[in-house]
Amino acid sequence: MKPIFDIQFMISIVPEILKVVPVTLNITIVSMFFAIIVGLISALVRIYKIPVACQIASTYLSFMRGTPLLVQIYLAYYGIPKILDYAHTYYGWNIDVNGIPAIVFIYFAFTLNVGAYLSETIRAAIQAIDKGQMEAALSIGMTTWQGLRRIIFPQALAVALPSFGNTVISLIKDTSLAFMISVVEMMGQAKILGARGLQFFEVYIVVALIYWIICIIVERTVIRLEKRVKQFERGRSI
Amino acid sequence: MIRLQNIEKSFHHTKVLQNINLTVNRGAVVTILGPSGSGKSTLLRCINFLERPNKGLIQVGDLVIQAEKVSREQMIQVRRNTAMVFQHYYLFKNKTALENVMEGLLIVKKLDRAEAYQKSVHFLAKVGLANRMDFYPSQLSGGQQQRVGIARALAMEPQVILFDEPTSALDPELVGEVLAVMKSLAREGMTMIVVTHEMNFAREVASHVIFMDDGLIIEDGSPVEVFDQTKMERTKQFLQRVKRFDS
Repeated sequence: MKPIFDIQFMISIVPEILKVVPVTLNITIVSMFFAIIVGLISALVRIYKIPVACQIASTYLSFMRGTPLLVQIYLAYYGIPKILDYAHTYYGWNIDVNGIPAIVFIYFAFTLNVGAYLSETIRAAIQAIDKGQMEAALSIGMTTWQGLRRIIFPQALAVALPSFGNTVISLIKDTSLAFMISVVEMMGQAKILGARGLQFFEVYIVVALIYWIICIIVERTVIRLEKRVKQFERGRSI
Repeated sequence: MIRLQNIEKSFHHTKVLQNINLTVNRGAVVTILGPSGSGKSTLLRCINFLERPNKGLIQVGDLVIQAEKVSREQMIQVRRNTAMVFQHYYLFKNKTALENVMEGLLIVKKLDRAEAYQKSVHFLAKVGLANRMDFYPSQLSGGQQQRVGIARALAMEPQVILFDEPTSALDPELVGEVLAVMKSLAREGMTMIVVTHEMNFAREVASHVIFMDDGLIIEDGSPVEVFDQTKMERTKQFLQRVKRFDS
């Protein structure tokens, strides 16, 4: 009888999968970077209730959290080229739509999606900081921005970090959707390899293990970071 | 010199300050007394625009500001000439005692690190905390935190320090160390406006005592005038009650 899975084959495909791990990490890091910026801006806009911008941010958040990520990816993939085409025809923007690599649409969709979730985390973290911290900063003549940057953000980071970690881990796993618009990351590579010899089960076990290992590394790193940014809380009894 | 003229402040439709007029000369120590909810803290916070008065004129040194049309720059200017000590200390939690004092010197006064360091050490020593420099607020007692708060205020070399119930959150046995620092500042000629419930401090240290009730200044004068020759019935009642608690 044939064994339930072919270990020999599994080992042989590990290098093939590892080859595209950088694509997965690339999507994660680039999207996370821009998502933090989007999340921070939309959080601040809502905290300070800036007219118009605040409503736009709320609608954006509601949409991103109320529609499936896969739909958002398709919207970006099919929608952005249409909009650019339109701009090309009517405003003479010289953009070669076909020259844009698919991964750019992935960056776009993931940035906006993750940005929405981060926005809530960041808002909650900033609002968890005693408002006296900002008052103290203002009272010695600092500007609001200086107070945010030097006093509020470092403290809010300590609050938000565990939740940030979760978001990164979700994002890593969600990158597996990128193959839906033909970006070959780990999941895409797995499908290709699996189809070659119709050994899907083996391929997916390998992929699952690699995702797992990456997520464990991220988890550990976040825990270590947490200790560092919470340094100022040492000596506190709770 | 600090001057307030016709200050008015309301939250929604409740008037919390009405017709406030006050002049504080250089080197004066003014204490503001009154029951809670009388507007003492709001008055203090109006001086550095942590609360924005609806009406009136505020003068801090050469800065004269019409509250209705105060600009962002003017608010920052006033705050650079004043400093505040808070009831709950509000030390920057992510910074050590030393960094708390250095922060304003580096960021607001733009001193270089060496100079900011020297100054900060000097002021921490002044409040008796040179040996606690590298401690985070979470590692300090309430009294120590409040003394760091005072050092942080002093380091800015303000024209006036605003004290908002600086000892109200402290354990009784820690009140003394904070009051002692405040007394020595008063002796050195620091201009201070102090909202407090410490009657003995007001009596011994203040050059001027103000009694507030319901958003109004209803009595003001020297400590002897306010405590021993009280004119208003409301003030008498309040002082009577406080005295009873004191003994």
